[in-house]
Amino acid sequence: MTLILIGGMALCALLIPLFSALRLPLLLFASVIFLILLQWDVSPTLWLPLASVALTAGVWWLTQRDTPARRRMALMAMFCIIGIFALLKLPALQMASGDALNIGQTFAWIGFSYLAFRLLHVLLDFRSGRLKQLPLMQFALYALFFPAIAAGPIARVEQFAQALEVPLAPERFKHGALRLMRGLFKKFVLADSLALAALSPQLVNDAQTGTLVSAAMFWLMLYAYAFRLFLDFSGYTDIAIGIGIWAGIKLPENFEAPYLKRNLQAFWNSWHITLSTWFRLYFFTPASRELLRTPLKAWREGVVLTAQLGTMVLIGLWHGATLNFVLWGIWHGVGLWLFRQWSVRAASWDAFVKARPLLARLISVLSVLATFHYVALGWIFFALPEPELIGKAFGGLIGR
Amino acid sequence: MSDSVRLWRVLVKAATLFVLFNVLWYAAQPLDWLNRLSVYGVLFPPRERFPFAEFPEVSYAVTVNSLEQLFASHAIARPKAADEFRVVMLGDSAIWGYLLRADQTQAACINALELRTEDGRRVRAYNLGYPTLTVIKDFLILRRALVYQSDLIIWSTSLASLYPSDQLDFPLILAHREEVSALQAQYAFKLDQYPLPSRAWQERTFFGQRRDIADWLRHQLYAPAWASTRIDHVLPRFVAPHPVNLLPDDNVLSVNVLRLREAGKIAPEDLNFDVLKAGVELAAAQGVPTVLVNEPIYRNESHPLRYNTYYPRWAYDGYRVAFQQVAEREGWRYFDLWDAVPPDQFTDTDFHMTPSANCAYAEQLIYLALDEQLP
Repeated sequence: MTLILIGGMALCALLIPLFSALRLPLLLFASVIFLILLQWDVSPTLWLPLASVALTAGVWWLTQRDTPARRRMALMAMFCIIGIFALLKLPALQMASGDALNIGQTFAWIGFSYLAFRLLHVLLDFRSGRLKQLPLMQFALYALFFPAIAAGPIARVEQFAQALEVPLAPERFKHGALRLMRGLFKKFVLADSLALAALSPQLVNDAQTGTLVSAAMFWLMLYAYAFRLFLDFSGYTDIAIGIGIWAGIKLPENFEAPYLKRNLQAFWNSWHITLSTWFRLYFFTPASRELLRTPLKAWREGVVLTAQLGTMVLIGLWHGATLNFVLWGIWHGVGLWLFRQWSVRAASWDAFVKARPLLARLISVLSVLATFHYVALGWIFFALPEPELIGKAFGGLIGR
Repeated sequence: MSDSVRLWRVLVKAATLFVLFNVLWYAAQPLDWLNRLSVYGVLFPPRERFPFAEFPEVSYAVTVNSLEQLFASHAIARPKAADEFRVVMLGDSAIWGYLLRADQTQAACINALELRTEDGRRVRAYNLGYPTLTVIKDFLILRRALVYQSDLIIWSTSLASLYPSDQLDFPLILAHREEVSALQAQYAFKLDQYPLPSRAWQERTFFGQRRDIADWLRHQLYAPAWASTRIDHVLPRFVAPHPVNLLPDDNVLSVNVLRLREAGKIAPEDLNFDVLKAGVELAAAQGVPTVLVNEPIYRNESHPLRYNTYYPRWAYDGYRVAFQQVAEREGWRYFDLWDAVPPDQFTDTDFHMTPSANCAYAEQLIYLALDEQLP
């Protein structure tokens, strides 16, 4: 998102609530306009934003009556959305159909990642009979609300419906402004500055290795990347939430000091919260349940490992269907499983540690550092697409 | 209170804070002292040459226009060793090392020779070149270099650096316009572009200086990348060779503004030898000798009218004669090395040399410059 588009969104969010009777239709209209503008900023085409609108309307229509036929259609719609998602994320699929569909570099469907997960959530809840029904305008606003188009968060329908019911508070100007300023500072000052020192394929490729100084530089690049990623993403979330507050719609939080968590599980409860919650609800829990009905149930920890690996690999693939994201998913899946094994075995020490505050504090600090470093090392897979670069980065960190 | 009134109050408060902050910034001018601070040489290795980047993302450098910041980040800002003989190299892109790595510049080549003077001091050359063709820029750099205990100045120039018409219109010089004005009042150089437009008041506000502040910050943030890669200049895979098919005319590149006494002749007064004179005298006043050099150029021997794209024969020959006359008149140590490098050793322009030719030339130059000081 460019600063001009953010400025435009902020202005709309400030002015539209002044027309109280027309607030929702104007917000929806603005959302469609910003959907087009955001798309235009990346690849100028009108049919992708219109397809987003049509998909949203289609899903709303589909979920209005609960019949077996509609349920089957909902299943098909889910496969369609996942298929489009795979097409967008899988380089192999893109190349295979590149010329025919004119996709590839030019086929950037802005906001589809987030729209798809909102619509999948709606369709899954519809099929399970838990869906909170909304009128078309409110539903479309939920799916396409302009602050959350490009970088989320992925609100749930019931959360959004609740937010719509909250009356406009006069404090929203102050709260929204503070949140927006925080987001702008995090994204455009801190994150963009750290980007100059952060791990990148080019920098790793150019970097010298093999000395103590070069190893220190690699660690510095890694830390810069870790904080850059957090500040960039959480900055965008702050911007979206701030604009949402101005518009009178509080979006859900997506980050809660993730680098200060004492273990990997707590990290994933505080990093990209709406996405990890989505996967927990719609993949991890049902997958674990299904696995417990297979012969694998005899090895309960095997069920957990399989479900956690599957979840984290899918989260990795959500970012891009390449090997490095799969490796990143495995890194976290294994990490979560190892933490689980550790916490079960270390549970008996809890009373001993709690009785000694100094030791408890020391362990707490060490846990935060260990968790942060595990996550930071995982970002190497996230940042570097080539296995050679990943190898060079890990080697560089130990001075090789 | 209605929403619209609250909104106006927020906007008025924001605008007031913005104005207040800018007024405070205007009064304090923190960029002046900020530019004297650098992470280079403190937390990270210093730069070997001034940052000048056309492609910052790949060259891990950003062009900074504050000379104070350039010096604060440079290796010359490090304390001078007791046994160091400090050689400062001034000049344009040929000295800076365009299309050369930082370890292939003339200064780096001289350092690789590990020379010692007769009294046992280690010769350490510092690259203070900057890729713009203007001797005023060299003079501004020279004034600062003298603060860093220089023992010898090697000042390389070419005809194109001495045009009075083309001295000032560069970001680096415009960023120091007050200093240029002060120097002009003292020396009365021949500068066609003088007076420079004065700095507007808004250029002293935070808003007006936002670009410079961002550049300062980005320059510091590139330090880890520089320390890690030692890359400060992108080297293209393919370098377009300098043109050898020259135009069939004998115009000077800046023909409209070059003040000629008469067609086909250049006199010393037509060029900015006055700036060289001021520089040499300033250094001499502090006991630092200066060696002036007419740097090598590409020469097309077969063309009847031109040596290269920059210089017609009449103008360049006239310039060499003029330089020699001025050097003899002023008693300068002057080397005319215009043909010291074979024509096939030039790369993209008429001044830039291949790494090997650059090093061979640098060796020749330092032996000439240190003539009596080497054992």
